Amino acid sequence: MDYTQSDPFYGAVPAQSAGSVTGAGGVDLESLGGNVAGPLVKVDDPPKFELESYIANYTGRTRFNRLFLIGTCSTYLSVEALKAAVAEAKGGRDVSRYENAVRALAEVAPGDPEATLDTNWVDHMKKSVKAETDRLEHELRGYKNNLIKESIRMGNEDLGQHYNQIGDLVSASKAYSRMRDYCTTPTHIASMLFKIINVAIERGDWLNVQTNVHRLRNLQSKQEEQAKNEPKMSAALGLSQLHSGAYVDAANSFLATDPSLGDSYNEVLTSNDVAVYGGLCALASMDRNELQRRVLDNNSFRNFLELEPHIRRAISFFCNSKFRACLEILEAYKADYLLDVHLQRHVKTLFTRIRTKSIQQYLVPFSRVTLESMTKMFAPGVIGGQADPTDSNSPFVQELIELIQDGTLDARIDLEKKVLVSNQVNLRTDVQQSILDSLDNYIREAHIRVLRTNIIQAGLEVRSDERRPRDDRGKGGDTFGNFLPRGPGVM
Amino acid sequence: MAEILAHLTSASSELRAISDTRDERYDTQMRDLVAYIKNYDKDLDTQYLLDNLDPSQHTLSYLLILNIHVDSLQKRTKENVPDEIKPGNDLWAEVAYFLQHFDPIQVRYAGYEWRRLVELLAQAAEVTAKPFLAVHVIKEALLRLNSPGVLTSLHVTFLRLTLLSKSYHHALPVMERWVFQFPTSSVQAYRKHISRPLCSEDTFGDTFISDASGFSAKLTYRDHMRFFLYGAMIYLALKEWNKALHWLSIVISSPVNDSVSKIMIEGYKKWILASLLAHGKLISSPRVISAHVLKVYQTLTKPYASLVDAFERGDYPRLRAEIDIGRSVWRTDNNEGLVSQLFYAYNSFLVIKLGRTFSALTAADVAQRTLAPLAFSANIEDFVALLVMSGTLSATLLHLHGQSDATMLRFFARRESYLNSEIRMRTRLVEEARVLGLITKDANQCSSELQLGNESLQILSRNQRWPDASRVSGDAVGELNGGLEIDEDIMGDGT
Repeated sequence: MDYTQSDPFYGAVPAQSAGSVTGAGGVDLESLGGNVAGPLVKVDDPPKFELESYIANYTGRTRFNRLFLIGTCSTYLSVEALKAAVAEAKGGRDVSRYENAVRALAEVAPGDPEATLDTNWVDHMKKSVKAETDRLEHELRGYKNNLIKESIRMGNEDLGQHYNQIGDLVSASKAYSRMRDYCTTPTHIASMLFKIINVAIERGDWLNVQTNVHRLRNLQSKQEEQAKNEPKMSAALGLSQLHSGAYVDAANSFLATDPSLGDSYNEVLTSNDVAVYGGLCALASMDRNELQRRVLDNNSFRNFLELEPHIRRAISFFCNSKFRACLEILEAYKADYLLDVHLQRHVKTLFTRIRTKSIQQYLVPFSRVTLESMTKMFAPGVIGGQADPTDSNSPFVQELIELIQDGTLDARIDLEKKVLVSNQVNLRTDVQQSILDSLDNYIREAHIRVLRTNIIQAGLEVRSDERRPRDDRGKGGDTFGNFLPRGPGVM
Repeated sequence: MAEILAHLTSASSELRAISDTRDERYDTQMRDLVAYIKNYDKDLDTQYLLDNLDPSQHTLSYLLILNIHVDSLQKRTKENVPDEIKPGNDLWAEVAYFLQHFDPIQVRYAGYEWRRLVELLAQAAEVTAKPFLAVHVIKEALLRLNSPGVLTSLHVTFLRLTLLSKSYHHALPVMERWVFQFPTSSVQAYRKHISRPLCSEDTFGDTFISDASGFSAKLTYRDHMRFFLYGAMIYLALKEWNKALHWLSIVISSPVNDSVSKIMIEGYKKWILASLLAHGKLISSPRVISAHVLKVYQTLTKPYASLVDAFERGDYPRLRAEIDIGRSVWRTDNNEGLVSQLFYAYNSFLVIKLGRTFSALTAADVAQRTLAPLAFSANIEDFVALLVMSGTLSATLLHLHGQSDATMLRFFARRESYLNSEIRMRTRLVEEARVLGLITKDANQCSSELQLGNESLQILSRNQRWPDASRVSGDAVGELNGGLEIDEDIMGDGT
């Protein structure tokens, strides 16, 4: 068994190496393993959820990841969450996690009794992990010698599970991959692929998630098996698309997730998460008609939305053009989103997109809108604090200017009458202009080329003088003497 | 003397009498006349003859006699440019009158003499530091000769004189006839079989102007590049940025054999500046420039590149600093004037860009957003007013009452009234159609040439196994490309 050096999760120093993880989706790893670089986001507002009940929804390793993220990012919940994380880590077999959690806790609450490393436990656990690894590998070797397929498969599975537990994710995914040759039934293959997917999700290897989901989808298995796997597949695929920034695809995947998902995928995400991720992605990527048709009128997704009514409300507000209400809801839940392990990185982009889209949608029916009404709609906080909220220096107007300059809004600002004027297009002139331009280009190009042909034909290309020695070539120095007697400036 | 005069005039008048005569007859008559005068070995009283000949009717005789006259004068005074021909003297007046009134058909038989006269005039004007006097005359002469599309050495001399005398507008009629052709023997070789008499109305400039005819001195690559660079400089002086850009791109895309000419480098520098002034950014260079030439340009024009960078990033302090640092560079390159216009261009592009974001804003806002040296809003007002008046910007300035008398700048959504724009569009279309006609004619001619005189093309196609190269179509301009490349290869093989 070779332990690859590049594996950030193996060994006792994950914190240092995790920071340097490159490749597909190392971000989650950073936030899990790396309190060296410090958390990327600090959330000061209290989130709306109850930590206890929130974390109770999850099982498996994601519990620790989520707790740790909340602990490092939220100033409000940090102690509570980190304590839970320490407890969680101690309940498992992953030593590096425990060390990380304790270190993080020591930073926020140095005086806490739990903030000191339980070296006894660590040593004991390290030894037991080592013994277990050796034992499993030895067993596997034995199975391999006996050439019993089923045993080899199970041996690999056990080994993978063990690596997964101790946090050596690369080895875990290798062990799972080795099961492939020894799988005999589609059910085996499906379960293997799911294991690989789960490990890949935790590693943040989103490309791997996608390929394996597709493999799973192409798998020939029984109808009911397929039906059972489908929701998990959609959720995993959506997650990977969310992380690669393909919000439309992510929205589609989440929307296609069957409500039978229930709590069957709690080691990765809950149905509530599907509702939030799907809803936000849809809001950020779809227009009003699509939202209405595909999200609100979608019977299966409605089941998810019922779990998170605020998303449902936000979407319906958006569809009814009540952008302010929609944005306010999202703003209120921003803290929650920022404390979500998968959403954190995308909250900003998603929010900006939703906001930009709202502004765009808001402008559609108008040929001119007063800046005042727009400010009321999109920047309500500003009005109270500033003398002239529609001044050209107010943040909202600046935002509009940026949107216009990058071409998102096809409008212009009138600072005299304080209105936003949408541009009118005169197709006829535009077409005429573009024709003239291309004609112009053609004429120039043709002229240059015809001249070039004739110059070459007449033997008038630039060449170094024959009288000069050959070594003068290439410097153009020989043409110097002939060069312009005077420029226009000195005449 | 009178007898000779009678002979000369009778020959011409005879020709005029039978003006509907066939071209061949006219041709022989003319050649006889040239031979008669050239072989007349006795001393001629040239002054007497000149006094009695009419330049517009007896053009050929007059021209030849005038030459003999100048010859004898040069011999007598042992000076290249005798005093008599300098501006203000009789001979100058005679030459100038002749060049403005000669008969363009007859003159075809004495191209060398004609050119000598023009060059003499140009020299005389330059020696006396009165280039402007020659500009007008030579312009008339070149236009009268009616040789559209052919470059002669006189064109180069002429543009140089206009630059010297700063009479840029006089150069425009000559420059607006697009140049396509070059008078060299190799080009004409294939045309021999289309032998039309020189005097025929259908004989185009590209045929009667050749190395042999003497209308042009032998051209080198410097001449055509100088011509286009001078032309571009004239357009730059007139602030016709787009035309200047086109002429400069001709200079910088000139075909090169091995080395790059310094004229091209100079052209590239000006091209960079013109591109900034015209478009506010560096436009993409013509595609025909080969990569290694472009690399040479880029290594030799580093200061300009950083100028462009500062300009494009909208980094005003840096632009200012770059311009200051490179002052000696601009001066040695004689580009100081262009560089100093960058400030104005920079500001006007900023204001125009504002017009895309705002439909109205106060002068103070403009000042704040341009960050240019126009620190005071009064200056801004002046500047914007200038832009509006020059037609660069379609906007109005309004003085507001009530709130602190701010000035409001209001941009128009559309440039002009519907009717106006339609009319303008129409005129532009007509103009473009004219130019397009010119180009197409020449492109066709060009491709048919490539097809005609090219046994080498066939050899090439055999050697390189291009099955269809021999059928490079002559009429589709789209196929020009293929033709050009093949031609370049021929030249490449030849050297």
